[in-house]
Amino acid sequence: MSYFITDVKMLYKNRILRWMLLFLIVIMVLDPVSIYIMSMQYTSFAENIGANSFQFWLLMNSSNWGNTVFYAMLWAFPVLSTGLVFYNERCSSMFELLIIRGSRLKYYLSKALAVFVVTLTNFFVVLSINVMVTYTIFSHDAPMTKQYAYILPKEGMFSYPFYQNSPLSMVMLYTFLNAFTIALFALFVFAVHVIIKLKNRYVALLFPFLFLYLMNYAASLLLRGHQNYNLSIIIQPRAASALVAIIQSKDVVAIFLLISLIDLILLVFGYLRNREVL
Amino acid sequence: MIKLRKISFCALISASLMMCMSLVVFAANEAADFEGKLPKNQGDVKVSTIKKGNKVEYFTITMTEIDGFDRVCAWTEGSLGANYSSPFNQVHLDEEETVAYDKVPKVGQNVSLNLDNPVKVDYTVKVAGSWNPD
Repeated sequence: MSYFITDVKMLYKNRILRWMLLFLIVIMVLDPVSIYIMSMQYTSFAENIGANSFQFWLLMNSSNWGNTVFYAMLWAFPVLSTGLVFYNERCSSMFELLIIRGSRLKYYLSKALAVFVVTLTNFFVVLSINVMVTYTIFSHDAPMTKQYAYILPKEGMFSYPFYQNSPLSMVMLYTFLNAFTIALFALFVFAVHVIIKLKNRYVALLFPFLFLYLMNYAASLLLRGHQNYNLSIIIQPRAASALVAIIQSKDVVAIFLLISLIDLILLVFGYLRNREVL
Repeated sequence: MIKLRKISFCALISASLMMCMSLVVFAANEAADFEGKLPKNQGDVKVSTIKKGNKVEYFTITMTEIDGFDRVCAWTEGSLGANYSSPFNQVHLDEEETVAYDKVPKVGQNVSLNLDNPVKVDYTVKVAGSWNPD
């Protein structure tokens, strides 16, 4: 337990992580504010487009810059979320000391858990900040316009029952899904750092990012006829209304289980591969 | 005789001019077909540019193809890139949609139609349809 708490503290003291969080918070706050300021130029905006908060939270509002920046950096966030803490430790004498003090299993388990929990918490919180700011600026009671109706999830989509329960339920579903996705990929990046001893910090940052980007690109091309299995589409709320293919709950569960399994296999492989340390 | 020729000549020129103007008006009122490809990663594409023919405060658009999707964001802009309508407007596949201008272009000004995928994907998406800026 003490290893876990120390690892969490080290992550939050890490400069890379802090700058990433600051950058995210700025985007999450400024995005809805900028829409509000821009929409005030046009008196017909509320009448034609709408003024309901459900239309303007960052993950849903793909017409604004915040959504573009967030999804453009989607594969960078898992890398930045590790803070290169494990990489730095392995390059120092701390690595052997910590393993001797505890055990290899305790060390790696604690590191993996810390990366996952901290990343999940960070992204859930920052995305929730965006939701809170959006719901403060725009009213959730504003009347439904034709454009609002166009972003509702189709019947059969996995998010449809959540919207039926309340729009905010659907908002929190996608907030959790995006945070969970980034956390799973942060674990993947950690596993890559354990398995491959990368030459320097810049390679340790760049290599996993390029690997994730290319993996997603290849998956997108291969899954073009099966978009309901494309993770980068699944986590976008607009896909629930714009996609012709229906993304069912079983598709979402299958994909996340697959990624979790891949993470587990890589972590076990990394753990076994580093037996020569002691 | 010369005077009669002059009058006939003026009448012929006037009639020709009127015919040309009416052709321009009718041409501007017809919907124009377009096709293109939405760039990957939510880039937008300019698919068509037509001169505005009337003073109406909206444009009409019908999407006939959006490969794999049934919504697309559609907006208009002028020659210098300033928006005439909001990029927040979405239009549905196989429906004739009427979209209001936020800033109505003047008659005779070029109006360009832009399209954008509301979903971020890593491949281009084929689109086709017709529209009328009037």
